[in-house]
Amino acid sequence: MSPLTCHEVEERIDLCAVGECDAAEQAAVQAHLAHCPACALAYREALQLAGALDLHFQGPERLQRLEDKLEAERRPRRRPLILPYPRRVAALAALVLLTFGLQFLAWPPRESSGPGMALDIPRAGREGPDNKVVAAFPGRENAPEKSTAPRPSGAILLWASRDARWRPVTERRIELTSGEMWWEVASPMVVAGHPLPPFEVSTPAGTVTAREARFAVAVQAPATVETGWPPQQVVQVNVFKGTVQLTNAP
Amino acid sequence: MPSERPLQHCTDAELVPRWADGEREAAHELTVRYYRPVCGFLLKRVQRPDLVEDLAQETFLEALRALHNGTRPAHFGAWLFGVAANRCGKWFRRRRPLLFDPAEPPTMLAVPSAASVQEELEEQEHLRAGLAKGLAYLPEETRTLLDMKHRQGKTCAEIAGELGRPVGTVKSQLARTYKALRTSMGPCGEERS
Repeated sequence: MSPLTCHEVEERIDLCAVGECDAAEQAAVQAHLAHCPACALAYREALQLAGALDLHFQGPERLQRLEDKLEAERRPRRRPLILPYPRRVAALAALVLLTFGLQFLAWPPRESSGPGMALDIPRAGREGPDNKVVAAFPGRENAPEKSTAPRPSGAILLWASRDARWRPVTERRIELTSGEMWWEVASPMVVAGHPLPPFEVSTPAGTVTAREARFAVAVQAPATVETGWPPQQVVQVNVFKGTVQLTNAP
Repeated sequence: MPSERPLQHCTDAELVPRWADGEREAAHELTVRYYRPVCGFLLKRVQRPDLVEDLAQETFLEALRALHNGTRPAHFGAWLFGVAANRCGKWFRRRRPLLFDPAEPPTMLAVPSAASVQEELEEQEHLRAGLAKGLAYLPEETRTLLDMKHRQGKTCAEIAGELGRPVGTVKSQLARTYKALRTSMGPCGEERS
């Protein structure tokens, strides 16, 4: 739409103020108002009039609505018997996490015969990290007959790739030699009056230390593309929540 | 103990504690007394007629909560306009960052002083009287158009459909009416000398 003159704006200004102009007209009027103080003043008057007319014609209803709100505010509120929606969702999520967490503690990952531990990930967990975080805890069918390895404590395994090879070293330290694992480390826990040490994932390239975080560690095949010669182990760490500390291997 | 005088003759200072104590009549009197001026005050600042009702409700609710929490303003009117100015500020902050020239502080968002509240009330009364005078001279048919537009919230197209008239005719009639009413209301408050 071409630029408008003051006369053309004056003709449209009241209808624009009550929302009866189309988008192009509105834009053209606004463009004119930006550099014409007299028309800008007239537009403000038109808005004042629109508001005053709304108030004139709807005054009693508006006052009644306001008084109803004030009365509702004044009355003592009852505590709702049903939890509000966000709380219900949060409670459900906490319940699911707790269930999976207990299951993980009750049936730790199966030990493999090799130097590390290969996880049997249930189907729901095989989609990979690109398909969001999935709870991929070994189910009952994967539970070892009797496990003597220490169980990771205060940390939840969210997902592991099929080629993940790892072994628990202590309750708060695991060793990942290949593949990818996603971990959720809960807030620092106190056991028998002593705080637990931070959770550590040691890899050939270094150690990832976390106190309260959600993160992924992927040990990639030795490569020369980014590291030059001689080929070096590359470990990729993604942090989704909290912070982690990285320490190079000696 | 409630005074014997009619509420219309009570001062704000007499009504405010009674409102805070939950007396409905006192609440009604104060809202009737201040609703329109607060709406006008808000409209002048936000320039959005569609937002005024919500902002006015928030203003009065916030005022009520403050009174319940023990606030007893010395000058209720000035304090209420201050709450309204605060609501405007919050709305502006939600909408866009406020960019002011430090050498020229904003005047529109300033909380009105107790002295200027009377001026504000007079200005709103002046606008209301001007509008009432302008409306009184309108023919019944035009008042019906305004009622459909501003009470029933219909668009010009809907009004035209209902009355069986071309949309253009309805629009021009409304545009002429608005222009006449603007003239009868006089210029905006802040520009008025």
